[in-house]
Amino acid sequence: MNVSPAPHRHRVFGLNVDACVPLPVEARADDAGPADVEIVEGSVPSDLPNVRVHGVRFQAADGRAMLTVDGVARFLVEAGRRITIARDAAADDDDVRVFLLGPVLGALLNQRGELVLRGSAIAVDGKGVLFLGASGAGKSTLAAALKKRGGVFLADDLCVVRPAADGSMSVHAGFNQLKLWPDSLAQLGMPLSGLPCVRRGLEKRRVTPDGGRQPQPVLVRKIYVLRGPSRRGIAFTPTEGVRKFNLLNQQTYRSGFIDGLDEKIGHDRLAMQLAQQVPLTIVHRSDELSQLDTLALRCLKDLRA
Amino acid sequence: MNRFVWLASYPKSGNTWFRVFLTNFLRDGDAPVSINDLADAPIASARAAFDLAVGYDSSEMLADEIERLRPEVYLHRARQAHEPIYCKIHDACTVLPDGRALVPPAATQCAIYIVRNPLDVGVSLAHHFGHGDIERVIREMADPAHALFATKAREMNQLRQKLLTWSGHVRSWVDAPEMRVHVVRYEDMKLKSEETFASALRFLGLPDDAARVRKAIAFSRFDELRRQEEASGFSEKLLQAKAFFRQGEVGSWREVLTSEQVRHLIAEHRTVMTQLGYLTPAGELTF
Repeated sequence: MNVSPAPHRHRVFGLNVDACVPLPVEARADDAGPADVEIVEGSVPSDLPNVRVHGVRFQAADGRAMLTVDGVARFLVEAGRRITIARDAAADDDDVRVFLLGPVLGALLNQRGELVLRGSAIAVDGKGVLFLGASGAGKSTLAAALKKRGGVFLADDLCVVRPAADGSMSVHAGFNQLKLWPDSLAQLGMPLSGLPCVRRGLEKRRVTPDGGRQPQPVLVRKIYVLRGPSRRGIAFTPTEGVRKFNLLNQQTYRSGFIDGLDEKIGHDRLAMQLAQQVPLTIVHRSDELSQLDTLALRCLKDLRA
Repeated sequence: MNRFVWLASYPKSGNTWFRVFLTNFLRDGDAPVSINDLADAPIASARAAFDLAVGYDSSEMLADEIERLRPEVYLHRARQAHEPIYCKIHDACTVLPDGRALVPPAATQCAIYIVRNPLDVGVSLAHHFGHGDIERVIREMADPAHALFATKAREMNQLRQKLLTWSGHVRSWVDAPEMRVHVVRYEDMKLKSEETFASALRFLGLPDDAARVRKAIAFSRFDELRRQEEASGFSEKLLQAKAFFRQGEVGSWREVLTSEQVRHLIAEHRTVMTQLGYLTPAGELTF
C-alpha cells in the first residue's frame, strides 16, 4: 500500500494544500481538486547553488528559497508549489509548524506572487478589516477583541489579499488559529488553562476561534496599522497618499525572499492597488492593556461611522 | 571585515550623551543635531535588524536560540558594511555556552566603553524604569543573572540582553580578549570634556580638531538635550519614565541614597570601583 507523503489535505488562503503534518484548518472535501501546494518531509541540501540573496539562515536562488531553523528543521521552498522539510531529530510538530506556517509559508506565497501582510483579519458587518503592525503591536489581541463583539475571524499572523477579476481586493481565510500571550488572554477574559503553548519554551498560546468560518474571500474595506503603546493614549489617525503606500509596504511580508525584480514589481503593484482602494488609519493604543475594551469599541465606532 | 565600533555601557551610564556628541562631531553642522536622529545604527539588540540579517521573523524563537545566532548576525552585517558601524550595546560582552563570544572580535573594529559611578547609575536606573525602587536596582546590579527584555510574558522589540552584575559588565568589556577597548568615564565627559572627548576621537581614528570638538560638546550639552526632549520627545525614553534626560549631574547619589545603600553598593563593587578610580585605594569615594 502506498502511503502518501502528504496525507493531510487542507484548503487555506484559497489554496489546496497537502501536508505531511496536520495543519490547524479544516480538511478539504475529496472532490475539491488537486493540490496547489505540497508540503513533504525529505532531505534538503545544506546550500543552494547560484545563491542570489542570502542572510544568516536563508538563501534564495532561481525560484527556490531555503530557511534553516537551528534545532528544528531546514525548509526548502520551491516555485510556490512545494515545501520540503528536513526535520531535526529533536524537533516536534509544534516547533516545525510555528516556522512552517509563518516565514516558510510566507516565502512560498511570495513565490506565487501573492500579497502577504503581517497581521490579523476579521470581518465586521461583512467587511474585511486588517490589523497590521510590528511584532507585539497588539494586532492579534485587537482582532480577538473584535471577534468577541461579533466579528468573524478570518486570519492571524499572515493575511493573503488577492485581486478579483474586477481588481477589487479581498482577504482570504487563513489558518483557524489565533496566537495570544497570557497578558492578552487575561484582558480578553479567556482562561489560560487548557490552551496549548505555540511551542515548548514559549508562553504564547494557540487559540482555536469558535464560530463560523468564512469560506469565501471578503472584500477589504479598512486597514488599521497598530503602533505600540503611547503615553498619548488611544488615537486614530487616517493616512493618505505616499505616506499611506509606504506604511502599507512596510507591513508586507517579504524581507528578502523576493529575489527577482519581476516579483518585486508585481508585489509593489498589488500593494499600490490595495492602498488605492482601502482607507488606512494608524492606531495608537494606550500603554495599559486594560484599555482594550475601549480600543475595541473605538474601532467599531470608527468602522461604522 | 572588522566594522563594528561598539559604544558599550551598562544602562544609564552616559551612552546616549556620548552618541549625541559623536553625531554632532561627525555631522559638523551649524546647529545641534536632533536627539531622535543620531548617526549610529539601531541598538545591537534591536529585533528588526536581527530578523533582517537572519532572513525571517524571530518572534517565535526562544531567547537561547536567538542568542546562538547573534555572533553570526554581527559577522554577516560586518561583511556587508562598507564603512564603520557605530553601534550602541548594553549587553555584557559575554561568552556563549559553546565558547563563542556574543560579540565577535572578527566583526569588531574597536569598542568605547562608557562607565559611570554605580552609585549614580543606581539612582538613574530607578527613575528610568519608573519604579523609583532603589533597593530593587541595587539587587539587580548585584545579580549575575540580570537581563533586560527577558520577560516571557509578551513580545518585545528588543532581544534579551544579559547584563551580568554591574562589576561583571565592566570586566566583560574592559577585559574582553582580542578587543581594543577605550574606557570613558561619565564624570570625565562632564568635568574634563574637551580632553576626554578628544582622546576618544583619537582612539577611533578620527581627527581631534579642537574647534570641532568644542562645537560638538556645546551642541550636546545636557540642557540642550533636555530642551529637545521637552519639545519633541525622545524615542529611547521608556513609557514609564518621566524623562530620559533627567538631571545629568555627577554625585547626585548623595541626595538620594541612604548610607546603608551606599555601603551595600560599595561592598558589592569595591574592586571595580577602585580600578576605575571611583574609590581611592583607601576606600574613599572620589565623586
